[in-house]
Amino acid sequence: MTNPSRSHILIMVNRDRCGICGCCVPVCPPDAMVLHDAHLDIDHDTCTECLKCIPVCPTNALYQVPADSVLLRRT
Amino acid sequence: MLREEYDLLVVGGGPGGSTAALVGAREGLKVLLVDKRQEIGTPVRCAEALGFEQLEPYIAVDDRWIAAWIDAFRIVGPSGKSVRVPPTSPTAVVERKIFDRELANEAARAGATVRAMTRVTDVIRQDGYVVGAKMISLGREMEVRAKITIAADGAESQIGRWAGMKTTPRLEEYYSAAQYLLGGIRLEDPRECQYHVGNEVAPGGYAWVFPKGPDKANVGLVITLTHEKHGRSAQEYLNAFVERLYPEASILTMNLGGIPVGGTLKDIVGDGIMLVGDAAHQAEPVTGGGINLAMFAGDMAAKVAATAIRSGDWSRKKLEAYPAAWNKEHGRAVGAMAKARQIVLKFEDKRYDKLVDLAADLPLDKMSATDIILAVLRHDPSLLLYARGFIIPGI
Ligand SMILES: Cc1cc2nc3c(=O)[nH]c(=O)nc-3n(C[C@H](O)[C@H](O)[C@H](O)COP(=O)(O)OP(=O)(O)OC[C@H]3O[C@@H](n4cnc5c(N)ncnc54)[C@H](O)[C@@H]3O)c2cc1C
Ligand code: SF4
Ligand code: SF4
Repeated sequence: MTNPSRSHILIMVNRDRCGICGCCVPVCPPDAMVLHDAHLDIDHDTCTECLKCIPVCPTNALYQVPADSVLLRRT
Repeated sequence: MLREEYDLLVVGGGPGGSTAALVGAREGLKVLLVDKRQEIGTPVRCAEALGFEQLEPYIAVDDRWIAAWIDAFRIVGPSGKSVRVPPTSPTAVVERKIFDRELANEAARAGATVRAMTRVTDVIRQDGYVVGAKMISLGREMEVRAKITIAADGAESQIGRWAGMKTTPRLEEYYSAAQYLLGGIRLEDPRECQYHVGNEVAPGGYAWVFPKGPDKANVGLVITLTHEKHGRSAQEYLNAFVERLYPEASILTMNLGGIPVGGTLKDIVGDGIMLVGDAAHQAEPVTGGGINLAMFAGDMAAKVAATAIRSGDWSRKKLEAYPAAWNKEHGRAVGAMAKARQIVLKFEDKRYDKLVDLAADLPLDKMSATDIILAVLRHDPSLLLYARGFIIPGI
């Protein structure tokens, strides 16, 4: 789920690094992080690209990529 | 869909939630305690140091969850200089895996219904009141109606937010934490907890070594990172720390987590809802220690819930008795420490060393951690420069 008209960047989760600790969930202002039992999802439609989540992750599992690069890869 | 009804719904089977459920059940309420984890207590997200003052009403000390009794804390400055501080109450490094489960069992023994693997997915609201929650319990959808909901869902808390409360922590007021349980190490003193401070070790935080026996220890750290300061992650700082202190160690467990350390949230009650523990930002802001405080808050919230339910009124106004009690007993101290933390956070390494020197001259055996930090700030007039703009009681 992406919103190409608005997104310039996308926040991605490196699942090999993510320990599913949930530490990033409460700091996300629009509540775009969804913590499942075995993985973390980011709702890119809700994300406002504020980048608050990136520094709090204890393992540097969150990173940003240009939105168009991901759209290209997905199609 | 399953439907159930209770007086009190408690979300989160950590120390705060289990104590709330235990005290609620003792007060005669019909209580449901739920936790999303398959096994209450795991995974551990804690360094497991626990002071035993005032815990008797909830749980009796049991060797099964004592990993090591602690005789002293040692604060190690950036230059390696250190000061030994005796604890003011009996302290141990515990096995939270067992402790949390036993505390949940205390709640069950008092009459609460406990359900693991039950994840709350949303709150149910009606006429401005929180009247229960939707959840998935052991794979089945369930709707629970409750007069009052206590959200003790930890640092990752969502319930308060779903209920429309302001819970988002500021980055400067949030610890990012990483920890290993190290094995195969040789501890000089397996009854001493160490705190290492310094900007190289853990910027805006500290590192710890908490023994769990002669050859095992929780070794971890917390850091504060903002957009501007974002560089290495907590885990990268931890790897450097471990490499320096215990290059030969084996990693038995890795834990990650966050701790909100800005002081108690402004609003911790609403119509039919109360927040407890890390969900309410009630941990002690300098050390991030929150087990006891979550338990005390759980006790207070449950007692207020019982009174409110007996009176037939659980509006926000009625529930305000809980934050009032909290602020009187602990909230003010937590708030002062949140401010002290902002000062300490900005220290240069020289100043951390000075703090260690100053502490060495204090009558440490009679002082709590809070006393020591406030006394150090008071003793060094130059530190008052940092304190300008903050109101710390007693300075
Ligand atoms: C690395 C680290 C080290 C720490 N070291 C110490 C220490 O040495 N001493 C100390 O006193 N404190 C320490 N703390 C702080 C301490 O762990 C917390 O303050 C304490 O656990 C708070 O208790 P709680 O009951 O509020 O929340 P938690 O113990 O976090 O419990 C919350 C529970 O809610 C459950 N939950 C969350 N969301 C849902 C949902 N939607 N549905 C159902 N269940 C849900 C979770 O599964 C969890 O079991 C440390 C914290 C960290 C991160
Ligand atoms: S903070 Fe990092 S490790 Fe924790 S859930 Fe978020 S992405 Fe995963
Ligand atoms: S960038 Fe901001 S809005 Fe987007 S997921 Fe991260 S914290 Fe949430």
